Parts: sequence; structure tokens; C-alpha cells
Amino acid sequence: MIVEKSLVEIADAIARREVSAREVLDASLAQIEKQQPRLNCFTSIEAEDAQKAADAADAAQARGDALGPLHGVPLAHKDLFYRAGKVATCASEIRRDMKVDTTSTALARLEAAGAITVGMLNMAEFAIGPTGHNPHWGHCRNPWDPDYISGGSSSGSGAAVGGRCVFGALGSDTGGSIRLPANFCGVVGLKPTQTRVSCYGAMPVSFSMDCFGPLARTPRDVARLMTVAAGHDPQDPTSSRRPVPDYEAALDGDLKGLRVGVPTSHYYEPGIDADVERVMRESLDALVAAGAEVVEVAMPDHKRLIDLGTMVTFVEAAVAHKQWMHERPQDYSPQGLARLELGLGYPATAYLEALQLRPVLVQDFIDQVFGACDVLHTPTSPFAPKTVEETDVGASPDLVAFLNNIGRCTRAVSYLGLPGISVPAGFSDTGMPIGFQLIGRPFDEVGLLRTAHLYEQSVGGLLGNVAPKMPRTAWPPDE
Amino acid sequence: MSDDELVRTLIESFSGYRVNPESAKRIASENKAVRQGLENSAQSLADVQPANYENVLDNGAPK
Repeated sequence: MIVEKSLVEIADAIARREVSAREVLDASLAQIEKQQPRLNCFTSIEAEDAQKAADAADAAQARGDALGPLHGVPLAHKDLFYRAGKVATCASEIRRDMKVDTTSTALARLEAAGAITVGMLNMAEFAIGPTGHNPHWGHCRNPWDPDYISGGSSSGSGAAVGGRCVFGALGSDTGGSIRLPANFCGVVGLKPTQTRVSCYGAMPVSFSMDCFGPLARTPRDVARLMTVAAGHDPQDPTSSRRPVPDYEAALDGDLKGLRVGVPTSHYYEPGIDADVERVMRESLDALVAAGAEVVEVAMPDHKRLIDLGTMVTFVEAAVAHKQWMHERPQDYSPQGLARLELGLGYPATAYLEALQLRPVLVQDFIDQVFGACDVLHTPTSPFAPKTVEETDVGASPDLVAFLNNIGRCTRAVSYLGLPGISVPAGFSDTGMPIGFQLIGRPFDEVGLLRTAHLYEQSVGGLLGNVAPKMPRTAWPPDE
Repeated sequence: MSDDELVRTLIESFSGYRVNPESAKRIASENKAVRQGLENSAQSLADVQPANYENVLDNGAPK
């Protein structure tokens, strides 16, 4: 079945003329038609434009044109990536009809490599929210069971890839927004090093901490997307000028001698599910069986890192949203507005202190953690997916405690700007996916992807290779 | 003046943004927790170069 193939399998099948781009797209659109009523993972589906692009891709192949590494592959992206002349809703009320006049560099690079954009994906309003709840566009739901959250803020990116609607997606991550939906939806999600992927042409949450990266079903898929999307962009002067490796070519090798760090504090403190602890142990056992060595590693003060990151994020977000907060406060969700308002209350000196401490604390983290291990292994989330209902905290007094818990394993990495990848590894007792996170040195996406790939090989495939049972429960419930 | 009222007054004075009492309470509480955490781990920033972050990332990459 076409939609069960991985991105690399389908791209290579198109290149070998075993299947046409149009056949792949039609299969993808048929899957979207089945899944969208159940998952609500798209904000727009552009079937006609995508069909024209697929026909053009087939014609180009028939002419013998040079093909890019994503030729004819259907993708969709979080609806905060801009495309000139089109609306980028950010799954908000405020930008529901607002057209933009620029195009995201990351998205443009994927299309230039042959990818076909079939639509844009649901997300937390303005990328501020870790669960997938959205009162404006409807909640995005988990492909393994639509009663459960998809995670966020790149909720549609996780759900559409996990639900086999598309073969990969771009997401953005400011505190866990790629890794959490990847974790909850049973797919692979990479938050690259800060500055590795251009941030030009997208709605920012926090210009100091935003990172764009891919979600797909396997580490090899993510590697192919990263090789295309990463690299310096003159339109984003902060983007790194380091050469981009061929991530896919660097996947092979072995894990012998790799030091996998297990944190001695913070990540396993009370509040973590027994299911998550079990899956972490099982994944570490698999890594050891494949040749890695597990070492315990003392952690720097993570509460401090998270507090500093929260401050930077919400001060910068409040600045980006200032005009709309003044003029259209009623058009924000209660939770979105409550979180943006936090940014108005920090003194300028505290914000600057957080930015000035960043290089100091990154260096400390590198010395302390990566002096003792090559990659750090942690849970991505302290809990397995919960239901949409039980996590609907809105702007209630429970909000801050809930947010602190769900982002406990991802937010420090964002403040530091290090790369982190979420890798599917097992299931909860309720049958929902659980992943682990690997954290690496700056620009060690190669190390993370290779470790994830070799883990996948050692266990005979990730959950990303297993289709969610559909439908486990009917959705909507009254149908 | 309570912390809530102080936060509300400062935000409205500096930004003109109207903060309702419930929001002011939440902002004051959250910001106090963050500030206390930072005060407990204070360190001198006198010799830190503000533009050094990208260099630290670059130098921290695998050799």
C-alpha cells in the first residue's frame, strides 16, 4: 500500500519509475479524505494544485529532466510557513484570511527538491500550546486514537505523518513543538541546532529560540529532509554558515563504544509515568545490545534553564503579538492570551540576563554533559498521550503546572539551542506511542540521526513503520 | 500595593495594555517564581560577551 511506505522508499520508487508521482499523490489524497474528518490535521487541502504539480513532475521525469531527492513526494507543513500570495493562518482567528508576500526558505528548498505541498497543517494557535487543542480550527487529534491529544504545537505535522496522509512535514520547535507531537503520534521529529535551518518566511514565536525541522516516519526520512532544508540563507543572517553534511549518507556504522548518557536528575523526577520509565529502560537495553555503553550523567540545574527559556520565549512572543493583543484581544484563545501576557511582566534587565547567560550555560552544559557522554538519552514527555478532555486546561489555574510538566524534558534543550530528536520506542498500557529523546552536541544532527537509525535497525523497525489501527474508535463519536 | 496590583500598574503604564485582575495575579505569581529561581543562582555577567552564543555553538560541535 503506497501510503504505508516511508518517504525514502516512495521517493526511490518514483525515481525508479515503479510508481508515478500522480499515483502517489492520489493515494495520499485518498488517505487525507479518510483521516481529515477523524484527525482534523489540515487547515487547508490543495488537491487541485497538488495534482497539477504531480502531473508536471511525471512530465519532467518522462522528458529525462534531472530529479531532486524528493521528486514527487507529497508533503504538508505547519500552517505558519509562508508561501507568497497564500494565507498562512497560524491556526488563529487573527490571521484566518491574511495573505503573505514571502515564501519560507525551508519550504521552498523542499519544493525545489521535487516535493509536492498538498496542504497546510493544523497547529496550536500561533504555535503557543503543547497539546494540539485549538478552539479556532478545532482540536487536532492523535492518529492512534482520536480521543487522545496529538501534542503540539506542530500538532498537524505529527498527526498527518502518523496518520499516513503525507510522507513528511515541517514543524517548528521553540520549547518542544516538534518533539512532543512526534512523541505522541509515534513518528520521528528532529529539532535541529539553533541556526541550522533558516527561519526566514514564517511567523515567529521567539526569534532567539525558534527552530524549524522535519517530522517523518524514520530517521532516514528525516535525514533526507534535513539534507535538503538545512544550510545558510542570506535572508536569515542568523543561519549558520557551516557546511551541511549528507545526513543520509552518514547513517550507517555501528554503535560500538557510543556513550549514551542517562541523566541522574530532573528527567525521572516524580510525575513520570511508569509506562514511560519502562519504555526508556527497554530502549536503553536495545542500545546496549547493539553495542552502546550506558553512563550516568549529572545534570546542570534544569529549572533554571527552563525558567530562562520561558522568559525569553514569552517576552519575544509578546513583542511579536503586541499590536494584536492591543487591538484584537478577543480573537485570541484564553490560553493563548494568558501565555502571551506572561511576557509583558518581565523586566528588560531579566530578559537581557537570560540572553547573556545563554552562551555561558551552553558551554557549561557541553563541558559537563558531553564531557561524560556522546548523546544524552531522556524521555521526550514525562507521560504517555492523555485524552483531549483531560488536558483541556484552558487558562485555568492548572495551566502553568500542566505546561511545566509536559515541557519538562524538552524546554531546556530549546533554551540551550542544542539538537534533539524524538524516536518512537514503545507503547503505553493504553496502546499509545511513547518515544525517547536524544540530545546532542551543537550541530551533531549526524550523531542523533545515526543513533536513531541504528536503534531502528537493532529493534527491527520503529512504530513509525507500524500503521496506527484505524479506526480504533470512531470519530466524530456521533457518526 | 500588592504584587498583582504592581504588575498591573507597571504593564499598563509601560505598554498601555489593559490587564484584568485574574491575569495580573497569574503574571505576578509566575514571574515571581522565575525571578526567585534566578536570584538563587545569580552569577556575575560582567565578563560575558553578549554576541558569543553562536561561537559557543560552533566551537561545541563534534571535532
